Amino acid sequence: MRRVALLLAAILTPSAARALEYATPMGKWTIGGYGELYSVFRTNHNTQAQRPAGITGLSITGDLHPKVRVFLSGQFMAGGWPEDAKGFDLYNISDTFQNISPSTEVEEGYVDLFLGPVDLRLGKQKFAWGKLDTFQPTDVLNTRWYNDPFLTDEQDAKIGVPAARAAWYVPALGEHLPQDVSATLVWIPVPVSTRFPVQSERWFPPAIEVAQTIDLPPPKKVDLLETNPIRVANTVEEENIKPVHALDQGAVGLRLGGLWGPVDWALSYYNGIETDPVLAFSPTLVYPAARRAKRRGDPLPVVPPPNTVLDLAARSSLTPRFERIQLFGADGSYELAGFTMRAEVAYGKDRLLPRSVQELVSASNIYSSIGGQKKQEDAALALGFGKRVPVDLGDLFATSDTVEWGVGVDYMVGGWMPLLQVNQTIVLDDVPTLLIDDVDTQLLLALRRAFFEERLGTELAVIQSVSRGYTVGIARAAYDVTDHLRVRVGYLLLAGSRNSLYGQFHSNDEAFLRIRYSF
Amino acid sequence: MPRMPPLVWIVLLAALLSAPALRAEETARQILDRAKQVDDTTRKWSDRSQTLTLTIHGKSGGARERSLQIFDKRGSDGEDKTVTFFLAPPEVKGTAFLQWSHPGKDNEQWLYLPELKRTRRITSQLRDQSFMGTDFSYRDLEILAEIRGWTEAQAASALVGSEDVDGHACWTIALTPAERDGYGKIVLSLDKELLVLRKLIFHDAGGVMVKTLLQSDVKNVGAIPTAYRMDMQTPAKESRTEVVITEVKYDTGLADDFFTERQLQRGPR
Repeated sequence: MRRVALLLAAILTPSAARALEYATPMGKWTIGGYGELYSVFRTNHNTQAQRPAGITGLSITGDLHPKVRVFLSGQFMAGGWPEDAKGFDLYNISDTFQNISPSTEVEEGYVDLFLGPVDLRLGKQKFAWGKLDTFQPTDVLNTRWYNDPFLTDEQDAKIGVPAARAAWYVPALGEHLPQDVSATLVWIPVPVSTRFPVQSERWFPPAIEVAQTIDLPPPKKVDLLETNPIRVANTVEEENIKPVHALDQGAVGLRLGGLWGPVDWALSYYNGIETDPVLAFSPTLVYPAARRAKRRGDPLPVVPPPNTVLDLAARSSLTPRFERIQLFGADGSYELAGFTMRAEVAYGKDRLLPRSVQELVSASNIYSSIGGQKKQEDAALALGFGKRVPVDLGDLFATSDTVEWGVGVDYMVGGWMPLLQVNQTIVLDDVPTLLIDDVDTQLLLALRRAFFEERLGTELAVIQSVSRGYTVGIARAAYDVTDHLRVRVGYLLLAGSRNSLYGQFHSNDEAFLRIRYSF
Repeated sequence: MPRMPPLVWIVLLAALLSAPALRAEETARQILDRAKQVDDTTRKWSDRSQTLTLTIHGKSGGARERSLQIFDKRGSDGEDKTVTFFLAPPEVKGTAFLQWSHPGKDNEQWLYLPELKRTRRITSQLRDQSFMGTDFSYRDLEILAEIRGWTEAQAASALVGSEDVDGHACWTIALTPAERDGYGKIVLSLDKELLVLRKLIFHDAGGVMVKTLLQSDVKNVGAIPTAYRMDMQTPAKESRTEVVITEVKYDTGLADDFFTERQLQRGPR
């Protein structure tokens, strides 16, 4: 008990710990870090649980020379979202499904070289392009992980990519020309996978869940089965496909920015893999009775008796896809009469947009995917002979050019900082039904305020879809018990149509608690 | 008794005339102009680097500390630039604030937040907000940087009297800023000998005293007297912020490109 009291006293003493600094012949080294307890409390016990997590982070900065700096940051986590994890491992940059716990990860690790007007950064790193709040259409250089998508801070959710970044800071151009101009070139030599939850996790998207059984009416065109309704038992497995690690599969990004009068502006270009998650859903049908007959050596094909239910089984794989996109973007911010305005626009070529698996596994889509009468009869026959029949139900992610734009404004009034932002995605091509509308508009309203000499920070944020009608609400507060100990509590509310990007999670409301000690 | 030569009389007379006691009939404006003249000549500096610690004593709990480095550069025509880097505590470490002050126009301000890895232009409406939870508002920092350069048009001055601050004889001068959206009156105590500010009392538009700033531990850095300690109190909030400067350097030759978004991200190198 005395030990606990001493430990508490040490933690609660304001100057108990500071970042560790060492002056060595190899320059100045600074070590900082944190330990955190993170817990979520679901309000609906029919939803998947998420265990409490213990997280520690460590960062090391070495100023080796006025022109050279090295930086390394990593994280270790035990508990949390993984269920039935395969044990301790290091997160890699190639696998989409990584069910490991405890886990460790090198988040960033790079060398900075400051060479006069040019800054070079080489190594695993994260980027932050764009100026809007929360949703930045031009911020596409890093892939992200989606295991806890609503409560993870923006930069924490990014996966560091191995990259070379060169930024050239242009000398002053003259009085009436843009100031503070910089040109940044980024080369990401190899693609990096997004990290996606597995089916057992709390945040596996319901839009990708397939019902355990699907009932189909008798196929009208197949004589062999014309009076047999069909029941399909489903199993889905995640399967990793690594991106091709070849230099021609890499990405480049360009950004030119500066100040022009009172406007901060930037133009950007990206050519590389789609960094939003993209998955393929590939089912294969079997007729278990025919498979059993085949194994036993019974006569084939097996034909079900008329007017009985034909029991089929579908084994589907969920695999990542790596497709190239291009993005042309612009962003700017401007202050007028106390209002800070931000705007961002991006034209995306060949973007990948999510659909619902329910669309793919509908009876009409299944029958039309198998094809005409001949193909359906061939498939029925193959099943009767105990063969596996792959079914191409179409793409789970549809390809289209898009325009994404957003405008936001914030204003300080009486210590409160309200922010209103509109984001819109316009799908330019004719595509099947998506989880977003062809013109998909969402509003972000946030209200922030600090109290007690900024010891307590509060935020209420609401994301409201105009067309699909989903709502995401987050109320949170962070209290600094000391300069090193911060307690964060909050509530996440999700509501709206299941057939929408965020509404699909609408039962997953939760309260959360984070206690972090930093040094 | 030997007669003193006339030149000695002239020197003595000049010395007596320059003594503070004989300047009683000076107006507040004349005193402020004289202080400004000293600032613009023998004490002139074009850039300054400071490392300091802020300790916030709030009503709501124990003391909190912030360590920071502030770099200023005075440009031509009052176009001043300031960049502030937060060194501690860990939750704010890496945060950086850049301000470009334009005379007669709103300042331009940017904030770099390491957790977002983004530099964001922020509103000048922040002026009356607390600077990182301290008793200083952004407006206070602006005033402290600019007050000695204010003209009569910017703030009407009146000599209120004399007082003793920490054992130093001071003039008490009331300034009424022309800008209507800020303080109604600022009463400052100017050291008669060193011509440095010892105390400022800030009053709101209704004349109610809202804050008091004491400056002490004044030491010369080269020719420039510099207050190494400041204590800002806000009686209504029952809070105060102590500032202890651990290092000050003047005229180290900070380049213009130090006061840019690039530097905010690189940190105080």
